[in-house]
Amino acid sequence: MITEIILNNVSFRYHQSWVINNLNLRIQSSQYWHIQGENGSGKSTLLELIGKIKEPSQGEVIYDFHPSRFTNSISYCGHQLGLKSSLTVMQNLRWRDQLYRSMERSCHLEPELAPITQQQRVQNALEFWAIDQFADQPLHQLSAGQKKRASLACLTLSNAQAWLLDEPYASLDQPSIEILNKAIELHLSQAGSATLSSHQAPLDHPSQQVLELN
Amino acid sequence: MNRSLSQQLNRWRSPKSFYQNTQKLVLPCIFFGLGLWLYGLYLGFFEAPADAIQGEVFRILYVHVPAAILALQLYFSMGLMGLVYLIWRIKLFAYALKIFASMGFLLSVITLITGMLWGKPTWGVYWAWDARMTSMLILTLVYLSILLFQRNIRSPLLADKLTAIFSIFGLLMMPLIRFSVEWWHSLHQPATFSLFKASTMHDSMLIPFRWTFVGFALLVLGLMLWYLRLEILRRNLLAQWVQQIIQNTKAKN
Amino acid sequence: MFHHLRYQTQTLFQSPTHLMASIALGILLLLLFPLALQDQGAIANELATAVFFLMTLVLNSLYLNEQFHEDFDDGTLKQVALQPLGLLQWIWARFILTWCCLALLLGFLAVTLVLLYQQPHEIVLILLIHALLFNVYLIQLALFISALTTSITKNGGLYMLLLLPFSIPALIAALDSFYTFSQTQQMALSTSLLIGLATLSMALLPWLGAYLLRLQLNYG
Repeated sequence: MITEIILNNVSFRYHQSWVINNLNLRIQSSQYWHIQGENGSGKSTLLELIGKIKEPSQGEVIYDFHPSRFTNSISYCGHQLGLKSSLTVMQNLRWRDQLYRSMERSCHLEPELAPITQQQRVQNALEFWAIDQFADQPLHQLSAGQKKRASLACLTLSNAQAWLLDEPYASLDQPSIEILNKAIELHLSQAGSATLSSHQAPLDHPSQQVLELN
Repeated sequence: MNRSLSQQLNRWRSPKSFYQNTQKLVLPCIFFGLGLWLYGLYLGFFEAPADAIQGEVFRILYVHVPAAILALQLYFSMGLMGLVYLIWRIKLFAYALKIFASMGFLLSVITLITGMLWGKPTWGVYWAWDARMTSMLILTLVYLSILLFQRNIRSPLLADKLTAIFSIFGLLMMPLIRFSVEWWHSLHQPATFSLFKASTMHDSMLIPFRWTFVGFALLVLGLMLWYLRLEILRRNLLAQWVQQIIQNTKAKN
Repeated sequence: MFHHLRYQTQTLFQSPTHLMASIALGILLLLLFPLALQDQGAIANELATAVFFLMTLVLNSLYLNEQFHEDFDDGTLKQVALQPLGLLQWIWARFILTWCCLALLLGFLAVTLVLLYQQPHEIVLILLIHALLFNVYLIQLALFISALTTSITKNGGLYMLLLLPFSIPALIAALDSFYTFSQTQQMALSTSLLIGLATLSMALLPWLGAYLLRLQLNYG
């Protein structure tokens, strides 16, 4: 069963120049897309367009999702954390978890797996990303890499089919990079898709596809 | 030539054809307007008789009234243009919003200052919180906000959309504010004065008004047209036809 | 929406300095305004209730400044926007949170005013109801202005001054309705106007604000 994101002749205009020009793209399940390009070539904009955070000036972005083990369509992890630094890791992750659960209700996708409690879900995510010892610390007390891991932990909470990651390897140390790679591989093996932009490609996956923006 | 209506409309709404079509209008508009306005001012300042009660001071109305009327008209037009821009996305109207806001701000400031200069000798106060003056002050604030939007927001597309929404909002709020201030004064200050006792003025004092109003309106229109054309060039700097014009101008000089 | 409300409440209580400063200012204004009248006792008592409404206005314009700046900067607004109607719920949650905080504050200040300026005790409730209705309109308007100016980094706070002119209809309606009701115990036309403005702002402005925030995310 194909589950995919389709971009049809998508263009995006910022100021007087066209950042994205007539782009056609299909992101299917189990695909790993690596978006490359120089600074300012529109990588972040493209990811936001795929995630429907921005609307294209021309063209359309279509989601074609069918029932699967996933209950959400997309999960987006950008440059910014998407978390409040005055609150603890636990409070932040609880909120993001509630966000995803309410997204599920509006998607009307029925989960195939037995539901687990929020507490357990958050705990599993904290342990996977090795930040459970910081659970009750305010985010601003953590290092940049730990903050990034907390932000990435929301991917695990989301149970989303398509992952959209904007420069996820920035400010991560080697152990964290390995955790991220492990997460992506696990996600791809479960028929999820991952689209990320970065300058280097630490993960060499057999189904890797490259999109060059210029 | 059998062009359909929509094709003809498209010709007019493109910035390029607007620029080309208005080339011959700008300077005549400005000079004609300036001429009429100065003639009207001459009539008003030197030929019209002095007012029985107000003396010579009333002559400042020849500057004040056209500015006030135009400031209000521009405000009203901005609200409508904002609506049209949001629905039909005509870029020309977005450029015009910016120009209207600058001119509107200038006109409302002129209105306030001339109003104060007229008010002090006539009524003894520079300022009173009555409906007209309060409305004009709020108009000035809204115009200023729009100018600051245009200046402080980096993305022109965002600035255009925000300006349009804010213009519509401002237009809708104005009657409400005006009505509530008038109502408040009617309840609490029975002896309100009207700023426009011009209705009791003699005919010979009204004639210069015609000239000053028409002249000033033409002058304002001409100036706005000039700056609108400049704005069209500025916003479409990367377009080929603009580059052509720049090269032609450089070749001439 | 309630998860947004909880999240925003947690955030507020982690850094309440802004709220505290506004509370302190409100109290100061109410206690010290007779000094501006050069201590004319009887007039101060009469004007106290009018000053209460003006103080509500000033409090709102100070406290509700740049409500969505931080959310825009730290990326939480983007995450909220992924949900359908997410931005609308976010604005609603902010409205409820702010209204409740200011309701408590205004309640406290109303009681202080009545005790300090020798007003009859019965008017506390009338004063409070009017101030709270006025507050609905003010907060909705302030959130609209905040949504409008979210991506402006320089001097974004100045735009909140626009709250003052746009609040005039509701201020006049509140003042007139309060004076009429406290003297005649009957609802005036201005009461309907006040309720109408509050209802209309609650019905329309959150949608407009959500649209504005979406524009900010798109082009900002």
